[in-house]
Amino acid sequence: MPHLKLATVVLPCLLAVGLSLASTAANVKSDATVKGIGFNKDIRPILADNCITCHGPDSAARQAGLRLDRRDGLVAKRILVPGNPAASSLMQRINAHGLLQMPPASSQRVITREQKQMLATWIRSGANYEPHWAYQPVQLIKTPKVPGNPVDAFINAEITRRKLVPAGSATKREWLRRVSLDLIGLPPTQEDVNAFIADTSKGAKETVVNRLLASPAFGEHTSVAWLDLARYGDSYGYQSDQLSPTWPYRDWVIRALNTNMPYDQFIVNQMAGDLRPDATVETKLGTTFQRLHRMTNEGGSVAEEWRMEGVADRVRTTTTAFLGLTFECARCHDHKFDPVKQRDYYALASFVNNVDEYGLYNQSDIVPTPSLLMPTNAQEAAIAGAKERVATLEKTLSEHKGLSTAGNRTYSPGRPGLTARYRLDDRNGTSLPNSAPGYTEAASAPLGLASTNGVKGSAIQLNGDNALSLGGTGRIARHVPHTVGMWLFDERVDDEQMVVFHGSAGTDVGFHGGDVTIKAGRVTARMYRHWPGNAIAVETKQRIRAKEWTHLTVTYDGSSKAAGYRIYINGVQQETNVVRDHIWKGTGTHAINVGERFRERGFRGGKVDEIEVYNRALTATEVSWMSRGIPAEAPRMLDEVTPADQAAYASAHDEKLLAIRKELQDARFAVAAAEDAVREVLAMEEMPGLRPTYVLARGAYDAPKTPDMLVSRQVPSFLPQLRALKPNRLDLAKWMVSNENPLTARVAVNRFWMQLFGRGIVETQEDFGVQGSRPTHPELLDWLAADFRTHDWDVKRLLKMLALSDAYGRTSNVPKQQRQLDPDNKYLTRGPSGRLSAEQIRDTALSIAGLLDRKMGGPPVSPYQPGDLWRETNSMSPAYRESVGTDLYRRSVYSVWKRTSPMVNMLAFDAATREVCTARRPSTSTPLQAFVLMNDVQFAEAARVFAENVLEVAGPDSDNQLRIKRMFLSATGREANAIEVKALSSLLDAQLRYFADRQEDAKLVAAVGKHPVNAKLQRHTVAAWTMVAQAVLNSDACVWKR
Amino acid sequence: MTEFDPLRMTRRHFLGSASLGLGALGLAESGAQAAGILRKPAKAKRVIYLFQSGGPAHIDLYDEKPLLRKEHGNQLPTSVIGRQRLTAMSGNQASLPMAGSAFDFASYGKSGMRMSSLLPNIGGVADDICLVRSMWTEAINHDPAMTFFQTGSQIAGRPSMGAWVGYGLGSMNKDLPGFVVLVTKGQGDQPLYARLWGSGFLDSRYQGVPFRAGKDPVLYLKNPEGVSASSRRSVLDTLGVLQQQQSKVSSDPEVDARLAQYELAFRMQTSVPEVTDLSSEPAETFELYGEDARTPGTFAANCVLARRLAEKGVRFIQLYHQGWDHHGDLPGNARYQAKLTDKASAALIIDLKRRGLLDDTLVIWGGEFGRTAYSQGAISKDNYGRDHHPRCFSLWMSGAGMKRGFSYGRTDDYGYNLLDHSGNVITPTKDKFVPGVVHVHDLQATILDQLGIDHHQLTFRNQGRDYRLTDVHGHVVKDLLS
Repeated sequence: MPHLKLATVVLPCLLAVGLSLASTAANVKSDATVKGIGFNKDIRPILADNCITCHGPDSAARQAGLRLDRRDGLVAKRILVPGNPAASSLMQRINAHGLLQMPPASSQRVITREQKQMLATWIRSGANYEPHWAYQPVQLIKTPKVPGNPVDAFINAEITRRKLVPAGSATKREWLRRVSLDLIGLPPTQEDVNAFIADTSKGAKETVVNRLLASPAFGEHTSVAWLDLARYGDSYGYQSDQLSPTWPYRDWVIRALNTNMPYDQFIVNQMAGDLRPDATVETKLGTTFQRLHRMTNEGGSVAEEWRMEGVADRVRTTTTAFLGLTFECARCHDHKFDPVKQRDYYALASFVNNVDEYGLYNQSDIVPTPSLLMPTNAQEAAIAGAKERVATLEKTLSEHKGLSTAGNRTYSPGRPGLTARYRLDDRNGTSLPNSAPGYTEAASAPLGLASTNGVKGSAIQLNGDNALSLGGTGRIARHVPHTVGMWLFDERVDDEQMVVFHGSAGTDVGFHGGDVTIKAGRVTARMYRHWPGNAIAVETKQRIRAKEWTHLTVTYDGSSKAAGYRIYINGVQQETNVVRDHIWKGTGTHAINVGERFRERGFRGGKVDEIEVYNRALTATEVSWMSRGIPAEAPRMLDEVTPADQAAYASAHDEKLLAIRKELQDARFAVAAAEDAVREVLAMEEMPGLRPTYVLARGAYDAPKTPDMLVSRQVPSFLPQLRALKPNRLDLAKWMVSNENPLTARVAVNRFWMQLFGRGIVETQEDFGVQGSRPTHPELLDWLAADFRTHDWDVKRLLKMLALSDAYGRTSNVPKQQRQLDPDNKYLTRGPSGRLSAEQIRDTALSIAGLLDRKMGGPPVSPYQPGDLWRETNSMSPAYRESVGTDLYRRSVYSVWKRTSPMVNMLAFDAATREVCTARRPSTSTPLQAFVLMNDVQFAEAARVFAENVLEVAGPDSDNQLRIKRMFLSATGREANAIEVKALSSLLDAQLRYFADRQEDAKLVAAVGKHPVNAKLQRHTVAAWTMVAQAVLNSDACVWKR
Repeated sequence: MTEFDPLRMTRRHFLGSASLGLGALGLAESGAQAAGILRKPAKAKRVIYLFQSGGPAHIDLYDEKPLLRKEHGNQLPTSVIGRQRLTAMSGNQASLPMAGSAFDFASYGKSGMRMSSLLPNIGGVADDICLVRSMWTEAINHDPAMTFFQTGSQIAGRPSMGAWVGYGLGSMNKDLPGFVVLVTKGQGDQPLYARLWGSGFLDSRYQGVPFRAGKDPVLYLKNPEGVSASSRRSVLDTLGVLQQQQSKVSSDPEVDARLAQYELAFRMQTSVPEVTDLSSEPAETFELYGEDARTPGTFAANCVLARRLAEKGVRFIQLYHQGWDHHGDLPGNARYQAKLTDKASAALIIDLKRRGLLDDTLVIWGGEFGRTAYSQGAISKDNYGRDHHPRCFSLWMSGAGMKRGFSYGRTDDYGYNLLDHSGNVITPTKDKFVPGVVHVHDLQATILDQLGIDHHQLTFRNQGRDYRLTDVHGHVVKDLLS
């Protein structure tokens, strides 16, 4: 049933209800409670959960014109009567039963008695509203005047206020292991431990933190959380899920963190590194962030639908990663809880909706535009050299004087270069002969394409679904000059774009090559590798006439410039508009098909006749001859003709000229070939002009785009406004990192806090909005945010301050009673602890075993996988090719991430799938984790090699207890106690006996994995020790940070 | 102290209260129960979902259209298509000729349910099934359509249906996962994605666990070569001592919770091979399901396995059979897929019924969308292809509280548009529930309802929003319930 209109129901009969409840409310009146109740802390959550969906920011869903997220108006309507709960209709309604009850029973929302009391108390004490904390400016909190780390001052004050007791310090070993795992993702080595234990100076911890922050492993570890947010993966993420070569961005993030790029720059580069006045390849590479949304190449997909999907993902990722906002809701309607209007969503979307892109990708090795070319120095030199050679030859060509008219040269107006002439008259089944002298390849037309009356003899009647294939005569490619001429009859069944002919390859999700299309009579000629960003194209200003035989010729000179195209209609060169004019890398070389292309709109109802193909760009004169025939009174001697005809003649007969042309064509091919070698990455690049962005009803790409739905670039009204008049992405980026922005710095420091303390000061890192959790230490958060900004957004400085705090240095081992006082460790009464992340667990095991390969960066590697899981349920996927040698043991951040089939052993430990932006991973315990740690070759091998190393390093004569102690210490960073030593010793003894009798089994255990077997050691010894190593590597002391 | 309001749980509350000390498998109490999400009496205890991936053609299997046969080869009237969008595969096709089914239809069972002769065995259990001919969805391409069906959203990142059910109801057994995925081996065709059985923003413990045909039915299930069960037992016992020591020092309940997972894993090492080994099945099983069932990884073998898992109390058993994406040569392709699926699908119903399991097991058979009334590509007298068609298609359910021998919903004479109860062509929207037609969210709501879950109530808060499998839509289709 519909919610009743509140305005109409301040009924007398209700007053009784109200009165009776007043007494209930009056029972709650302790001063402490009154003082303790805050709107943001206590009241807003109740309203948000129960009322705001229908009485909140969403104007479309709003009932009774009532907004409970704002105080204005409510007081006037006596919905709230400050000081008097009983007179407030809010209280009357929430206490009512039946029809008047709010929230209505049908909503299945319930306000508890305690919550009602709290509301009453709040109203009685004046019903003070507070704006949502996170949308208010960062408060400038004075640095506490307490000696020591300011962070501790805030935390200790709260602990004292709550009458809690902080735990003591962690041991040196505990702290070292914790800080190593948190800053570089790896446990300390024995040398690290020894050095730290030996360092009794006051600055010992600082020395460690400095060392860790300076380690390249810092960036490798810290990048993981960012890559989750950036939804970084090595594949496109839908259906066939081809690999996408985006790893240079992953390395960029690692580099940015290791070089301590100021965090504001880190943001600006990822938002708009292409638009900076001082933009470089390095700053532009940051913008790959905006392009990491998944893309599809599933047949039948509508490009615009998926383009908008990508834009939406940019909005979602940008707002979550940088601002901690949940904009996604506002894609379809005004936000239910936060004051984000649907218009705000699209106004923000318009900032990232202005790149020259197509919504689909085509194949793995063609990078969808816009993209960034990252040539090596050698490649850059090679390309420059190739281009220089082209320029030289073009100059030679332009300076070439041509044939001398002197000396009675005979003039014969032929059109050399003809490779195909299809009169389409002598049809033999599907075959249509080629009458060009010296060429024999016939064209073929399926039987579905009938012959009909043409301009001369027969023509081919096209149906739009079948192509007339011109044998191997086509020479369509970026570097290849060509001319295609034909008579055509445009039936003009509609005004949609139709393919007249093409020489290209691909599927309905994208082609590469060249084509000529007609749309409502306008002819477009294109050459492209990826439409539209990597293309040249021209379009005629005039239209050809419908239902009339027309001669169309398109010439292309191989220059890779739009100006290299000429379009002639009935022999007359047409004025054209340049549609696109930038192409790089190869387009492939393709044969010509007339009348249709796979799953596109063909030239339906049209007819074609007298098709001619040339391997050069004909001159205007020659083209005119093609359509009009050679004049009967053609002169016979060269000096009798016009200069234009002389040139035409020369272009075909001057052997010197032809030789230069051939050289030029080769040189142009060399440019494309040199470019082909260059690494290319998805990136942002603003396109000229501004693509209009509309509010899309329900978020649907095909919603009506009416003028009233058009938005301009803006940021939401509840946040500080942009200053620029015509803001672009760079202005938006600068706005994010401006001092006025209340969110960016808070969200950033909260995430780095999370890296060390496990949970954020705001627990919901992904949501700083009304529904998110409140900061446990609001003043600390603001102090940190302001401090971070004041100190140039220095990430390492921030992390160092946190790592050196007493709070971080407390022990996490506390008695049960103490744990229960602060069960979630919200108030940091003890040190942080938690299960290691998927990456940490694998890297730690490899590190302990001495297997970890520390090579940095480069293309992703493919560690052990039980068979080809990529293709197991996806026959369209590329195959999984397991790496060989040391690449099996690289840090996990370098493992290939296939978004539809991520590493199973990583997913088991809650790794994000990277399909969408993820701000926080859950942490679970499952049996699959036990399987992975015990049975996955990667981990079983680590245990085996760890065992070998312990046997080797400890010396053949060491006693087993000593070895066990070493093993435990090196894996967990702490000394084993007597019980642990005893348990491991008896396991060892039993397993030694067991495997001594089972040499065959021992052999298998001692050889698990691809790492070479240590032949010096006895197999059954290694096998038994491998069991011990497994027990240790699976123990909490190893898998958890304590 | 504020009263704990169970329905408005934050993730923190949830993790804090539910994940401690509870194993993923032996979970007596579910996350949602811990979150106070109430259950109602359930008719279904478990679900076996026989997902037919690729989009089986309703017109050739379940929805008889004599008009199309009569008009075979003639252009589909544009008035029938209206303003509905087509895919970019056939949307540019110059002609859209109607394609009548190559298969005859017949009446099956006492109910006289009309079905294609391609599916005689399913026809044989017609009186036990509830056939919906008026399904519709929004997505027109495979990936988004599959994702929508299985997670309630075309956008990645949401939990799959099985994960939601696990979150809502927990597991019913101590040594098997609550959500098992079985894929017909070697079919190729349209891909499947981890997200289809993923846990989205729910914990990873609700992920579906694929059981694979072959020597390692669950990834990493088997000990490394040379490691015996007794060695493993000894390692676990030692691990137990180590954990105990850690627990003493840290007093963190997570330590014990982890150890419990290792014990569960150890039990699974026995229980999974046991349940997946069909060699103990009597010959009669293979007569019923077909000789295919002897080959691990076939659809038939997976159907037998599904029954065994159902017997063991696995809550959600998700089968995938790829191979129904018939853009060309539909008659040949459909005949082949029917051969692989018809007998075993029917056998499963018969088998569950005679074991008394059908009363509380919900079986679902269907794909992500239907196929067009017109031919994609060339059409001949007896050959044609069909493109994707989201606007109407068929799906059937059986068991639990579903009506039996019951057909529901109608499409127009072309099998192109939905009709309402009065026979008028309608273009439904998901915002407005129209009796007679079943949107994907309606189906999801109905499935949850049978499991005793109110789909409005099964929520999880993520990024400030209470998410549901059915988004903000979905109605229980009471007409389908007995």
